[in-house]
Amino acid sequence: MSLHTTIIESNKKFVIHRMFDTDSNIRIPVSSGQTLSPVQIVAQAHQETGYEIVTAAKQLGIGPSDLKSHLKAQVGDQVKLGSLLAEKRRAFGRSIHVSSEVAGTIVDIINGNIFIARTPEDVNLRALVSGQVTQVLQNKGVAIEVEGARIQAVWSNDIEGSGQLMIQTESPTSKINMAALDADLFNAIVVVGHIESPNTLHRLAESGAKGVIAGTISAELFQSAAGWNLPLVLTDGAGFGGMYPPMFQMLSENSGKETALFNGKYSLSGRAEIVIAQDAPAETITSSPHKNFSRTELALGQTVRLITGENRGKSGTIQKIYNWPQITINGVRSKGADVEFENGEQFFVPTPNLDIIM
Amino acid sequence: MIQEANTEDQLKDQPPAPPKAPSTFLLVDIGERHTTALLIQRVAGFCRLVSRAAVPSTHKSPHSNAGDGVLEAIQTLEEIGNQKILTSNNDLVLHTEQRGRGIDKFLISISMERIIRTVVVAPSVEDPAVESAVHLLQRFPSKLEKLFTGGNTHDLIEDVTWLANNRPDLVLIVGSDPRGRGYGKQIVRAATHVGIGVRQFSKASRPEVIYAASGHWDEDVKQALDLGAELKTAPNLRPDARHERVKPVRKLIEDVIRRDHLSQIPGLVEVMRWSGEVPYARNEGLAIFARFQAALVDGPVLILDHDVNGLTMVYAKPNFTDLIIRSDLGLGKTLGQAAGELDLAELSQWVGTTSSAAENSENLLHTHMINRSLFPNAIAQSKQELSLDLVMLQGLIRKGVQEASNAWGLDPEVPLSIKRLFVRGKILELTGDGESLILTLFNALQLQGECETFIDPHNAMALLGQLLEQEPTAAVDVIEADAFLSLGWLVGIPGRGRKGKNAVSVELKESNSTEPIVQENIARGDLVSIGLPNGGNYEATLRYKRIGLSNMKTLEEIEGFKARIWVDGRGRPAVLPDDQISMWNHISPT
Repeated sequence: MSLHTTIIESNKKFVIHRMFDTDSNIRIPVSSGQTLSPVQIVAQAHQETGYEIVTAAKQLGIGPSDLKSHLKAQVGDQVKLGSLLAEKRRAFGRSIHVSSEVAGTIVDIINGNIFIARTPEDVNLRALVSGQVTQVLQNKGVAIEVEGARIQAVWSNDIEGSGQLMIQTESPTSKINMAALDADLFNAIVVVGHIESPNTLHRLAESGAKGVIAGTISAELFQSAAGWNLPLVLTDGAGFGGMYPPMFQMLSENSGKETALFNGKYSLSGRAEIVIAQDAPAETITSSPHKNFSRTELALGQTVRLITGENRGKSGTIQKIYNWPQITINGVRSKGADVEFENGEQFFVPTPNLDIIM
Repeated sequence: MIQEANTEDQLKDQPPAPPKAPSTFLLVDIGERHTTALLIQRVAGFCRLVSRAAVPSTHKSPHSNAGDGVLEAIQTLEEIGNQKILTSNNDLVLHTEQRGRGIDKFLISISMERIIRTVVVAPSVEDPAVESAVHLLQRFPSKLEKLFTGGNTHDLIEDVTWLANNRPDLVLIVGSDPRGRGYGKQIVRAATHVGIGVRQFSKASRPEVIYAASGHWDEDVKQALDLGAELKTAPNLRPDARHERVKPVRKLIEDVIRRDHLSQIPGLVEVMRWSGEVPYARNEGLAIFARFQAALVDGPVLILDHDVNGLTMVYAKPNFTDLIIRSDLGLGKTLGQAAGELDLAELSQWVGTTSSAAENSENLLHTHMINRSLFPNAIAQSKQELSLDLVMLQGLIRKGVQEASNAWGLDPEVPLSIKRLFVRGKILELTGDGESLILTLFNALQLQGECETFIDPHNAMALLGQLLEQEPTAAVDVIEADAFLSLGWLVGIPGRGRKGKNAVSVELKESNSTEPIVQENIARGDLVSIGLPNGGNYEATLRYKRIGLSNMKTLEEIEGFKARIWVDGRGRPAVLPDDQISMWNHISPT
């Protein structure tokens, strides 16, 4: 059984990866040992950007078969924005021009139309966080050693960003302070416990904020949040429960610090992550947990949180591990552990329902 | 690499043994979530499933090597089954005459699949071939991105730009025989647009194009496409409204998927080199298994395989098998989106009354589905959560089966009649006890009549389907002996009636005995399960009550073990809120 784990760590040195999942046409403009600023480009992908079709014969007012004699460019030619593609001379020295509206390469001329493959664009992957390159992963990206705090989230809307951490809520379960929406949120990564109003989404998008970290979001807002153009990271998921308190605590302690929101697409773990730069000397180095083929196992005393049910988000410690399947209240057979929760309550939790706090 | 055992076991000097039937089979399925290994051995002349191991699959990050999971599953199998399969260098030991070492046959199947983005080209939307193409593509993990027809391909620029910027994986050209003048011109026009679009890609990255339309326009369409030898051709998929030729086209699509798909799964090529086997597509095995079952019971059979990456449904009856994959109805990350497509207001009426009055069930269900998409491996921790899981499953299966009904020649509004039902996948983990699973199946399928129901806890159906093709005797031994768990008979009473009115009487007796051990009248609106004593063979007689007549049915040779007879006396089709009943009345023989 693969265990669900979540990293919450502070004052540490750790390694993050910034890499593309394709291995072609990747340029790495940094080198091992180089110190990085958040805005620095660490990898560039040369990405195909599609085609442009120029209706040349139609624009010149001629038949497709007549285009050949009016062409000023041929298949294989590279063209720039504004390059002359075809021309038809008219009386009194006037002429009609057909120009390229894109930069690219002419790949075909069919039926009076000129097909231009647009010049591939560079997609830039920025560091988003201060750190040092520890390894260049050829044709992929880089590994960066970071000093600071890290929280793994459960979901992001796939947009990345960085800014200054700003707490805008009273408690892990609270909604945003509405007054905050009128305040200056320029460059802020706003932290709220729970989002339940579409109005909050709209106002935040217009506020100049660089991103939002929320514990939970109401189910009916989930789809629209997925299409939101501001980075949004959820630490806990859908519902009304708010944020896991230790995460809120850590974010509160780091208010004002440079923070990056990663979407997981460019990392090894595939998880959305919040990374906060810290000035304090980092204690230890956590190497990438994914170097070797290994599986995490349950251990006595481990801190865990529940990821499902009415007690979702509740935290406790493992008191007993069952290596043989137990039968749950619903008749499901599952391995698991007895967990003692902060209120003194203790009960069996199936392994798939445990999130191990690393 | 397969290693002959005798090189390691120093058996070189032994005389060659006469050929004999293979007696040890290793079957491995590399799934999206789990890699499962089954070991089958011949014991006293009969093949038996002797051990099974399942470990998390490793084709995705962070491991990114399918082989790690395969190796771990086989190593676990060795530990459980006390059977040496690998050498110290992790080479496979090919079977020797010595018992307890090596294997005779190794089959691999894969079930995690990339969605194939497809485009269909046809003369017109109304052409019956379009229906056949859409239906055929549903047998694969595919998504129909666009339908190009003579009617909607007016703008060359728009079409070619779309194709160039949305590179599909597969283009399927279909069209029945001509119906009047001008019909062929429409498909030629669509093919011209598609041909130009496809040719914008370099040869290495062009979509696969399959021509399975009428021979009447064969030359014109090929000329319009201008793809030369790259074009794959098959006989007309739908020559006319009444005939379909699916097999050749299906074979071509399978080849495309197998070739393109396998190379993209990290580590799979190495597994193939190591094992010397080319993996089967899991779905092929499921279809073979369903066909076998339909022939066995001489009637319709349904397989539901509901897992994180989709709902796979196989409906088979003698001379008909159909497999549909709904990757949008899985129990994984698509759940959040599926929540938006189900009628949650109606569905939430099925949620049990344990939900807090303050919270509205529709919102609870919506929230639950999104969170399940974030944590697809979680299992219900409370009764309320179980209730939400069951309703979610019910909604997804109902939608899948209703939308598949037309393809199976069934009316989606008419309750389903099948003779056998097989269930596998995460649905079993979510429902927990048999009682909840059965209620979910009754609600989702609206079953009527008598249906023998099995679960597949070992993930064996597809693998045994493949074995049926290669070693039918061994496969039949295992199927008949111990591969599946019987949940018993599900009996759904047709039609509706006043609650409390007698609907069916059930008489249970030991085979060859005249003395009934259970006699029970079951009323409309009741959910009753009848237990069987352990051991022995039993016979149940069902007498359905109808106005003025009695309809009798006998269930023979029921093996008394854990199986029960589950009778759903609620109406068909279900009507809310009357049929929102979830309490079973359990009856055991005195």
